[in-house]
Parts: sequence; structure tokens; C-alpha cells
Amino acid sequence: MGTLARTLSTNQQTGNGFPTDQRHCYTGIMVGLCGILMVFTGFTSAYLVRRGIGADWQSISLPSLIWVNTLILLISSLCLEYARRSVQNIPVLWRWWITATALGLTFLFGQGIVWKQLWETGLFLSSNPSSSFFYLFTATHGIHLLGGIVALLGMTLKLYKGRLHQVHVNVMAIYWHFMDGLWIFLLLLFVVGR
Amino acid sequence: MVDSVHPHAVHEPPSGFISKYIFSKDHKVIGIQYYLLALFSVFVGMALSVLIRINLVWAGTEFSILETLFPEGAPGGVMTPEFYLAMLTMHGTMMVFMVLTTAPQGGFGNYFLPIQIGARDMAFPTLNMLSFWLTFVSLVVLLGAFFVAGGPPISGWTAYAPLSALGEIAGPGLGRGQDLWIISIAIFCIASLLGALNFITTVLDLRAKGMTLMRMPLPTWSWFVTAILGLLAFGVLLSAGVLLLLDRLAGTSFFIPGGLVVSDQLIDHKGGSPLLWQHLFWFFGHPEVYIAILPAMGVTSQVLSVFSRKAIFGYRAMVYSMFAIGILGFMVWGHHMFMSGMSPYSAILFSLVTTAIAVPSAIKTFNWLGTLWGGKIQFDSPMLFSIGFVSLFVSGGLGGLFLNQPATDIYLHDGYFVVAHFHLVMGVASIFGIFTATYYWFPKMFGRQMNENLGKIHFWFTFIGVNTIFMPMHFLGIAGHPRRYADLSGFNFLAEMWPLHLFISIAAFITITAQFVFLFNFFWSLFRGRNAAMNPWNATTLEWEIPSPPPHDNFGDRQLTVCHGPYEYSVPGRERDFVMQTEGEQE
Repeated sequence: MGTLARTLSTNQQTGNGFPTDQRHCYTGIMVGLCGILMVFTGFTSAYLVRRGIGADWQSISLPSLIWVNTLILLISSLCLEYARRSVQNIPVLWRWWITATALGLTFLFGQGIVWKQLWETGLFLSSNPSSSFFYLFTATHGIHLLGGIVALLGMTLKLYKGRLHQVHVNVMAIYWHFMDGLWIFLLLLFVVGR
Repeated sequence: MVDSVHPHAVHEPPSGFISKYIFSKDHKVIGIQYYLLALFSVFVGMALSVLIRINLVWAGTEFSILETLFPEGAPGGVMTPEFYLAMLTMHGTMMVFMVLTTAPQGGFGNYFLPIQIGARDMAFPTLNMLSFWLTFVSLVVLLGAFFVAGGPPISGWTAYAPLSALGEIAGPGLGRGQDLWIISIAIFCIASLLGALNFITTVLDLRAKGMTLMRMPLPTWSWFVTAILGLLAFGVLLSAGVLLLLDRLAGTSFFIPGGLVVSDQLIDHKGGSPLLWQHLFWFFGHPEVYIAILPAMGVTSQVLSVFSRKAIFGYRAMVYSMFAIGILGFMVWGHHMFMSGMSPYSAILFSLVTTAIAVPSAIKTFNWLGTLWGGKIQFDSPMLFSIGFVSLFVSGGLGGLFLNQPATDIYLHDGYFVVAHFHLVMGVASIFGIFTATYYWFPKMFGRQMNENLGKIHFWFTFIGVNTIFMPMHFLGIAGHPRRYADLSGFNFLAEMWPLHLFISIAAFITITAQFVFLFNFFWSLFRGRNAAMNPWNATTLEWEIPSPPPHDNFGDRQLTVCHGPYEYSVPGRERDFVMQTEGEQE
């Protein structure tokens, strides 16, 4: 832990809170998120077009569990933000970090249950275009979130070994908050734009 | 911008063969890997075009070798129409994705972008390596389509739905072959997105001290703008590919309309829109044209300046016009769909924006001519190919003026005029950019000069060759010759055009043969070429002040300070007729 504390505190901060020598990491994540955003833009435009042309469109009613899942993801994001702001206090950082990871996993598990509930009502991927898009969006978001969880777990290992850099925490938080915002957008699409 | 070369981009020199040449993180090795992948692909693509040209001229004629090579595609030595379409699909896909997208950006961009801005490597070397190997996997998966039941897909490189979405019931190659095609393109998209991420970050954050944006060489600008286009375009193609795959494998109906009867069988899909595929595809497809050609514009600007011993005419205008082309390129996809029944009002808008691209394109062209004007021109191979590029860009681009008008496009759209246009402006012009870059940077990459006489022979055969292939195709198109037809014998009005087809095929065979001169020159020079000096062209940019080939960490421990722009040639009062970008730096 002593090594860890030293690792996290050696970064020189600039005015915007980002260490100067790792600026490429922040640029990289922002550019990467643009790429991800374009994938979802493609899906969203297809969603809007397909909804507008198909007489076979039947809006699906979302299971109430999805709201609980949303709350879990929001809290997870909040925990990661607390972790990011606690880099000087390793035990606190550790606590928030693990909680955020666990909640992320819980969200994914919850999404799996939502899928199961839909299957039980007879709504499958190919049932109608609305359900096709629901599965598509939740799966694609889930894959991205799963990637985030793998990164979180990898960083947990680094945290344990005392090799975690502050930039990792910051970049991870940016990614996680983006996934959070993306999920809210998708949820709005299902609720308002159905 | 940062103050010095970043220590994070430094990784230890690899010691073993695998880490040095196979799974290398060195941007230079990765650049060469991309280049070799494209070189392999271009010869495969050319072989396919030979088959296409043979079939167009001698459809129905028996060639026993074809039966030996393709027992299913050419039973009895005669190509089937489906086999012809499969060759067409694979030729387009190989050339557009594996050659025109990889060599200029992945190849030369990887090799020279970090060096031209004074960095030691890309921002994320591991991601860079991953990007190449994903591209390699994508190529292998694509070639795998040749070896599955039914062979490669027959739906063209644009994979128009519903043909591409229905499965093998719609024709040979539309089963596993089409699946592999989509998976290959999806992997390619991911690789390109990772590459774009690296390029953009590297340019924004890894420039050396004094390397302001407006001191960056134009090839670097072109790679930067291309990376932005790739970042915004490939994500959309990826999303379209996923939807198409789901239509095929999971029974969804994104692109397949209801009530389709194929092979006397009612298709169990309903409500989808084939036009939705076209919108998504061309939202990627048109920027892809600029992804292919912008790097060629960058290297052409560089070479015209170096070999005219003059500063590039209108540097800032060149940069802004690249951005203008990139931005407008995202607003014109509808001009590929004038025939789709779109509203005439939409068509007019797409037509107007498309016409507007002529403005930045003309700015670039006149600036290239302005650079040549009054210069001390040296006609070495790189210069010949860059002038050839300008010529092809103009002659190919002029065809675009006819196609961007909905009224004329409706007549010309599905004919050989379009084939001539896009081959000249996107295909051959970009290839000339690749040749320019190869002849120009070969001494730096491999420490040896390419043979100049062979280079000139290669240029003249290729330049005259491509014009004799594609110029007559305009006339075929104007005469109403349709494209994508495997057998022309059933149409009386086409019979009169057969001699022109024969002429084009012979020109194609000669031009393709001339490419072996290049191939020979490339490999011969690699081992036997004259040793190259550090700066054989007396150029000013940073790659020319490090050894040829550059060491693993490019600039070593040297802390660079850039003091000059990239095109300071024939400056009055100077002893030499060029000023290196770092000249006068305080060591």
C-alpha cells in the first residue's frame, strides 16, 4: 500500500486536474468514445428510420427491473467518481473502486434477467423490429460495459500491486460515465422514442 | 502541445525475431507490415481483374486452365455469370479495403507520421500492433470466402440488400461466403477505428517542441484528416454490418422487405428497408473515397514542392481545403442513391453539396500547378507519379461533374461511365499516390535507392496504360453500356462495342504486366539498390535528418526543436536551396 500511495501521488497536476505527461491518455479516450458514439449513431439512425417505415413495429413494454438496473448503474458511476476523487486516500479509493466494479457486474446480471423476462413473454430478437433493436442496443451497450469491467478488474490487480497510475483512474471514470450517459440515452430512446 | 518527446512512447528495442518483425510495436515495422499486406492484396486484386476482363471479352470461350483453378466457378473452362460477379465483388473489396485504405494510411502514415512530427512512436504502440493484426485477420477471413461452399459473395463490394441479406437461397456465395465477407469488414472497421484513434492522438499530443500545427508537413495533415474521417465513418459501417449479419443469421428484418419471393419461395421477413442499408453504407462509402485519396494528396503536395525546389503554393489553403473536402464528404452520400427514388428536393441538395466539393478540389489543383510554375523541376520517379496523380485526379474528377447532376446520373448511373469515373479518381489516382510515396520514401525506409530507369519505365507504361483502360470506358457508358453484366453476347446494341472492350482488355493486360517491373524494382532495390544518403532528395522535413533506415527510437535522446515550416526551398540569401525544419535550433 505504501508503494501504491507513492505511485498515485507523484503526478504533477495542471490547472485542469490532468497530469501533463499523460495527456495522450485523455485525448485517446475522448477520441475512442467518438468512435463508439458513431457506432451507436448508426444504430440509432437505423432505429428511427425503421420505426418510421415499418407497419410491423410493435412497441415493447419494458420490464420494471430495467429501472432498478439503471439506478444501479448510476450509483456505480457515482462510486467510481468518489474513487477518482480519493486518489490520495488509498483505503477509501479501494473501497469505492470495488463497489463500482461490483455494481457494474450487478447491472449486467440485471440486464440478463431483463432479457429472461422478455423471453418468458415470448419476445425474442426476431419477434418484431422493436424487440430486435432492444436486444441489439442492450447487447452492444453490455459488451462495452463488459469491456469496462474487464478493465476495472485489470486495474484492481494493478491497484493491489501498487502499480495503478492516477491517469488510469481518471480515464476509467471518463469511460464509465460515458457508458452511464449512453445508457440513459438508450433508455430515453426506448421510452420516449418507441 | 508538449515540450518534448514523450517518454511514454518509448519502448525497449525488441531483441527476438518475433517481437522485432512479427508482433512488433515499432510504428516503422507496423508500417512496412501494412505495406506488404497491401502489396499482396493489390496483386490478388489485379489477378481478379484479369479474370473479369477475360470474361468480358471472351465470355463463353473455354479456358481449360480456368476449370483446373476454379472447378466450381468455371465448369468446362467457361466462367459462370455468378463466378464473374464473385470476382467483381472480391476485386472491389480487396482493392478498396485492403489496398486503398491500408497502404496510404496504415503503411506510410504509420511509418512517417510520428517521424514527421518529431515523436518516437505512436501514442499507443500496443494498440497500433493490434490494429495491424486485426487487419491481417480481416484479410484472412475475406480470402476464406474463396474456400467455403458456394465461394465468394456475388453482391458487389457495396453488398446491397436484400441480395446480401437473404442467404444462399438468393444465389451462390450468398451463404457462408457473404457471412465471411461481413465478418471480415466488421473486423476491418474495428482495426481502422483503433488506427484512427492512434493517429489523431499522436498528432494532437506528441508533436515535438516548435512543431506547431501550421508547421506540420502536408502528408501529416492528410493522415490526420483521414484519421478523423475514418473515426467517424467506420463506426457507421460497423453498425450496418452488425445489422446485416443479424438479418442473415438471427432472423431480424432490418433490411429485408416483406413479401419477397426468391427462387419461388416466400421469404419469411417483413417490413425492412433495403434503402436503409444504402444510406448507412454510403454514409461510410463516400468518406471512404477521401480516406483513400487524401493521403495521396498529402504526399503529392510534398513531392511537388521538393522536386520543384519551391515552397508549396498556398500551404494554409491546402490544409483548409483538406478539411473542407473531409467535412463536405460527409454530406454527399445521397448522390450514390439518385436512382433510389429519393425526393427530387433531397437530390438537389445532395447535388449542390457534391458540386461544392469542386471548390476545395480546384483550390488544391491550382495550388499544385502554382507550385510547379517557375520551379526548377526534377523529373525523378516520385515527381512523375505525383504529376500523374494530379492529371488523374483532374480527369477522373471531371467525370464527377456529370454524375453529380441527378438528370445525367439517371442515365449514366448503372453504366461504364461510373466504372471509369471511380476507377480514375479513387482507384488509380490513389494508387499513383502510393507509387509516389513508395519511390519518394523507399530510400528512407530501406536505406537504398530504387532504380530510376525502371521507375520511369514503370511510370510511362502505367500512366498511358490506365488512361487507355479507363478513358474509353466513358464512351461505353455514354453509349449506354450497362455495368455488372457478365455476358454481353445477348444484346445486339452491345456487339458494336466489343472491339473497344477488346482494346481495354489488352491495355489492362499490358498495364498489369508493367506492374511486375515495379515489383522487380522493389525487391531488387531492397537488396541490390544503391545505398541511399540520409537526405537524397535535399528535403526539409524531419525524416530526412535521421539515418536511413531510421533507428528504433527515431531521434534517440535528441531533444528536437522545430524552427521552420516544412517547405522552405530556394530561400534567398541561404547557402543551400533548402532549410531543414530544425535548422538553427539551440542544442
